Amino acid sequence: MSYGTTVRDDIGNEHPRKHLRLKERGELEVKLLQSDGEEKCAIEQKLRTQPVDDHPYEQALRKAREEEKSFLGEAEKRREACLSSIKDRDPRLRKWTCWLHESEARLDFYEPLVDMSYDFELAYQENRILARELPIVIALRRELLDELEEAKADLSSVGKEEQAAALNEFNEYRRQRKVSCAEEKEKIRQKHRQGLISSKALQNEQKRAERSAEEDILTKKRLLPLPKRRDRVRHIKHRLKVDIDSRWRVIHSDISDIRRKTPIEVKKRYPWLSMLTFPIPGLGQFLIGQRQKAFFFFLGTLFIYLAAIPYSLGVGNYRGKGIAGLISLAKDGKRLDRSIIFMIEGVIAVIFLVLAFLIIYMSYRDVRSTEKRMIAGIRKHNWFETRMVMRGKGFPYIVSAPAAILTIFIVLLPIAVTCLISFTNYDPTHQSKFSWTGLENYKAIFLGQGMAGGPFWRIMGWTVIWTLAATTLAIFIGFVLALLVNQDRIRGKKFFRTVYLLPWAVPAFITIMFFSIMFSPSGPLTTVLNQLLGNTDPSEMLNIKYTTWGTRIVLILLQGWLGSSYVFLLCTGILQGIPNDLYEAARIDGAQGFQQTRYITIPILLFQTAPLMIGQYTFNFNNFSIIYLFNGGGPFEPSKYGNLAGSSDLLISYIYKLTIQKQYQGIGSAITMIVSLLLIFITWMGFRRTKSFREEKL
Amino acid sequence: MRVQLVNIGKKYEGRENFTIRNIDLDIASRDFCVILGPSGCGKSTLLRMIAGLNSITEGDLLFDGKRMNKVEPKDRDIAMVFQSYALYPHMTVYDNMAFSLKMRKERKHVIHERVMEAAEVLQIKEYLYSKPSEISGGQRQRVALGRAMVRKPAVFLMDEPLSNLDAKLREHMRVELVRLHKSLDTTSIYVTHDQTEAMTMATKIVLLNDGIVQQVGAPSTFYEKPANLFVAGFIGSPTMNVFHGEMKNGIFHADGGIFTVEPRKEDADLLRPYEGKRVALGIRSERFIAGEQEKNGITVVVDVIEMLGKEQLLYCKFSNGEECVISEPGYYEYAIDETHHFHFDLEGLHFFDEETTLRIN
Repeated sequence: MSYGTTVRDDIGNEHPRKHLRLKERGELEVKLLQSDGEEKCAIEQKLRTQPVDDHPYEQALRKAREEEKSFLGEAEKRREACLSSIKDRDPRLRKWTCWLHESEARLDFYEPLVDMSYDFELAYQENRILARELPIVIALRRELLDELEEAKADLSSVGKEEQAAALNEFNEYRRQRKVSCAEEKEKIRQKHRQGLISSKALQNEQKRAERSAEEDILTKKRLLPLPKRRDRVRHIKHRLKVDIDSRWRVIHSDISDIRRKTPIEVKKRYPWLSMLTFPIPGLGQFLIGQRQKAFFFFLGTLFIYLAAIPYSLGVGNYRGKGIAGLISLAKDGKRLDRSIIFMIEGVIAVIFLVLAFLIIYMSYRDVRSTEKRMIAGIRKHNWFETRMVMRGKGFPYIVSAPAAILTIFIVLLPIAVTCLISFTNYDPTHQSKFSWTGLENYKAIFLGQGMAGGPFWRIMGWTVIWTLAATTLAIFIGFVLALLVNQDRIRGKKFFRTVYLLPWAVPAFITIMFFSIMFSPSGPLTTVLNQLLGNTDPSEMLNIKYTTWGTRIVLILLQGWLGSSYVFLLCTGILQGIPNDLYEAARIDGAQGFQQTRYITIPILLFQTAPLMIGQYTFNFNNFSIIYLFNGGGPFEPSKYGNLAGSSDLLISYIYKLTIQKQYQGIGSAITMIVSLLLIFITWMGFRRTKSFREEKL
Repeated sequence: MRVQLVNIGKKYEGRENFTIRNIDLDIASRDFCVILGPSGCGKSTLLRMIAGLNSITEGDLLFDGKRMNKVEPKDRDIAMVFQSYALYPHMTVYDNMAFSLKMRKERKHVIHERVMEAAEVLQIKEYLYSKPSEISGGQRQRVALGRAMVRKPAVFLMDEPLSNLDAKLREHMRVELVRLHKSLDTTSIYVTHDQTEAMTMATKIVLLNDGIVQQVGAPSTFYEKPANLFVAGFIGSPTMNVFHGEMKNGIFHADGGIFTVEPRKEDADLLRPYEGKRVALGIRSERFIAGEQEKNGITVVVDVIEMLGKEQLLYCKFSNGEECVISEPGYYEYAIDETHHFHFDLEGLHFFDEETTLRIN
C-alpha cells in the first residue's frame, strides 16, 4: 500500500495531506511507479534515506504535540479557577460552564495549529462547535431551572382554603355540566322518538354528548389550583430532560459531521492490529480507542474463554465431556453415564463454539474495517456515532438476537440431536449406551432389512397413496361445495356455509372417535352396510376394522370429509374476490354458465390456491391423529408388517411407535430425517410458487 | 348498425324510483356517440342496458329496427371495453383476445389472423404472451380494446375506458380511439364524465343528468348554444360565468347592481317576454374584452391568477364579492389585487330563464 498524496474522508472527498513527511513519501512513491531505470534507483535511494524522526516537519509536529500536552495538562488548573468563579449551584451548569471556558481556551490554542495537522483542525472545529452551542444549552437549562424553582414555590404556596373553594366551584360546575349533558341526551332521544334520526345516529350522538361532557369536566378538573401547578412542574421537568437532551444530540451530530469530513493521517500501511488481536475480541477496539465498543466485545471474550471453550472441553458439563463426549458417546464410561446426555451436551458445546467463532469473526471484521478506513483517511467512529449506527442499521439485529439465540436452542438443538441419533444404534438393546454406526440405519431402511426397517417400503407406499387420495378427495369436495354455494342464484348461502364448515369447527378428535365406534364390528354403520348388502352369513359379513383395505378406504373418505372444510373456506374467499366484471366480460365474449366456471372460475381458483393445496398434501402426509385414533394403525398383519406396525400406519405413526412405544430411536430418527427432507422439499416447491403467485394480482 | 332507444327506463330491484326513465335516442350507423354526465347520472346503466348486462324495465331497444330487449349479450353482435378493463388475469394477452372467438368455435387460423391483426393495429405484438399483470396500465387498455376489436362487432361499447390512464396517455389514446373507430366502421357508444373527451371524440353527444337527457347534438352546439343552465355549466373549462339578474326596460340588471348589459338586437327581441322577470346571463371566460367602455362594462379586482402559458385565467371579484373567471392572452400583464375594467362581447351572451333554466336566445 502506498501513502499517496491525498487522503479520503468518509464522504469520499479527497483532501491534500498535511503531514509533510508522508506527503513527500507519497509523492516519491507515485513517481517511482511511473519511472524506470536509473531514475527508479535514484528514487528508491531517496525513499530509503528520507529522514524519519529528523524530518523538519516531524520535529515541528513533535514540538506542537508537546505544547499541546502541557496545555492540556493545565486543564485541571483552569477548571479549578473557573469553578471558583461560577455562582450557579446546579452541578451540571457548573460543569458545562467550565467546559465552555475550556473549549474557548482550546479554540485559541488550536487556531494557529490548524494547518499543521488534521488532528489539530478537528480539535479546533470541535471546540468551535462547543464554544458556539454550549452557551445556548446553558442558558436553556438555567432558564428552565429558574422556571422550575418558581413553579415549585407556586405549588407549595397553594392554601388549603383556596383549594377547597376551587373544589367547591368545580363540584358545582360538574353538577351543572352533567345536568346539561343529560338534557342534551334527552333532546337526542326525543329526536329519535320523532323518527328524525336513526338508532345508529342516536347511539353516536349520545356517545358524543357524553364524551364532550367528560372532556369538559376533566379539563376543568386539571385547572384546579393544585393539579394545575403540579402539571406545570411536571411539564417543566419533562422539558428539562427532553429539550436539553435533544440540544445535546444536535451538538453531537454536528461534531460527528465534522469528524466525517476531517480526514486522519496515519503512518500505518497495513491493518496489522486486527490480525494481532483477533483471539481477544475487544482488544483491538480498545487499542484503537473505542472504549465503549470494546467493553461489549470484552463481554464476548469472557463468554468465549469462560464459557464456550471450557464447556467444549468438558468443564461445567452436567454429565457429558463436551466435544469429546460427542465423539465417544460415553463409551466405556461409568454405569450412570448415558450416551444421549453426552450427545446433547456435545451438540451444545458445538453451538457454543460456533457462537464463539461468530463473535471472534465479528470483532475481527470490525477492527479490520476501522483500521482500513483509517489508513484511507477516515476517522474511527466515536461512541455517539457507534450508537447511532446500532440504533439504525444494527437495530433489527439487536432486537432479534435474543430470539435467534433462543431459537438455536429450542429448534436447532433438537433437530441436530435427531439428525445425530439417526447415525447411531439407539435401539431397545442399547438404551443407556449406544455408539456411532454410520449409515447402518439408512441402509436398513432402504433395503427393508431388520425388525424396524422391514415394513418401511410398504408403509411408505401406503403413505403416498393415502396422501394423494385423501387430500385430492378433500380438495375436490371442498372445491365443488364452494362452487355450488357461490352460485348467484342460491339462496340461504349463510346456512350452507355454516354447515360445510362444521367438520372444521367440531374438533376432529371427536369426529374420528365417533366414526371409529360406528365402524367397529358391531357398530351401527357396519350393521347398516351389511343389511344393505344382504350379508347374513358371518363369513361374508363386512368387517371394516379387520380388513386392510376396508380401514384404508374409510380413512380416505373420512379425511376427505374432514379436510374439505378448509378447502371450502379458502375457495369461498377467493371466489368472492373475483371481480364481477370478469364474468360480464365473459358473457359478452359468449361464455355461458358452465363455460364461465370452466374458463374463468376454476383457473383463477387453482392459480391462487395451488401453494396452499400443496400445504394440504404435506399436512396429510403427517396426519398422525386420524390414523392413531381410528384404528391405532391396525389391522395388524404380522406376516407382512412384522410386530411393529399395522397396515394402515403412516410413516409418522410408525415413527411414533418405533420411538415412543418400542424404543427404536435410532431407526425412528432416520425415518424422521427422510420424511423431513421430503416434506421440506415439497413445501419449498410450494412456497417458491407462492412467491411468484403473490406478485400476480387480479 | 343503427341503435335506437325508445322510451327506455330502468328500475333496479328493491329501489322505489326509476334510475333513468323516458330515454329516447337515435344513434345512426357509424356514429361516435358519447354519453356524458356527472357521476351517478345513470349513464353507465344506460350503456349496460344496451350491452344486455342489465335488464330493461320498460321501453324498447332496437338494433337496426330489431327489438333486442331480451337477447343475450353474446348474440347482440357487440363488444365492450370496461373501465377496469376486466382482462382475464390467468390468461395471456393472446388468449384474452382470442377468448371470444374461441367461445364461438372459430377456426384456429382465423383466430390467429384476427388476433395478430388487432395486435398489429394496437402495437401490442411484443406482449402477446405476457399476462395482464406483467404489462402497464396503458398496455392493458390496448389489450382490452383488442379483445373487443377481434370480434368485429357491429356496436362498440366503451365504459370510461380512459379514466385509469394518466393525462398524457389519455390525450394520446383519445386520438387513437377516434382513428380506430374510423377504421372499424362500427357504431361506437362511449360513456364518460369527462367533457373534454366528449367534445374531442364525439360526432354526437348525449348529456345526461338525473336520469334525464339534457341535450343531444354535435359538440359545437353544446359549447355555443347550451340548451339550459346545467349544460352551460357542465360543458367548457373554465366553467361558464353565470350572473343572475332581472330585465328592466330591455336592459339586464345584475343582482347587487354590479353591472348592466344592453343585449344586441336579436337577443333583445327574444328577451321581450321576460321584461321584469328573473333571467340568468351566461358568458364564457374568453368573451370578456379588456378595456373600459361606457356601456356593458364591469370593474373587478383580480383575486387569483392561473397562468396556463398561452392564456391566463383571472379569478376576479366584484365589489359585492360575486366572482367571475376571465381569460386573457398570456402575454398581458396582470397582478393580484389590481382593479381592471372589462366589457362584454355581446355576440357571446347566453340568456336563460331562471325559472325553467332553459335557454332564451
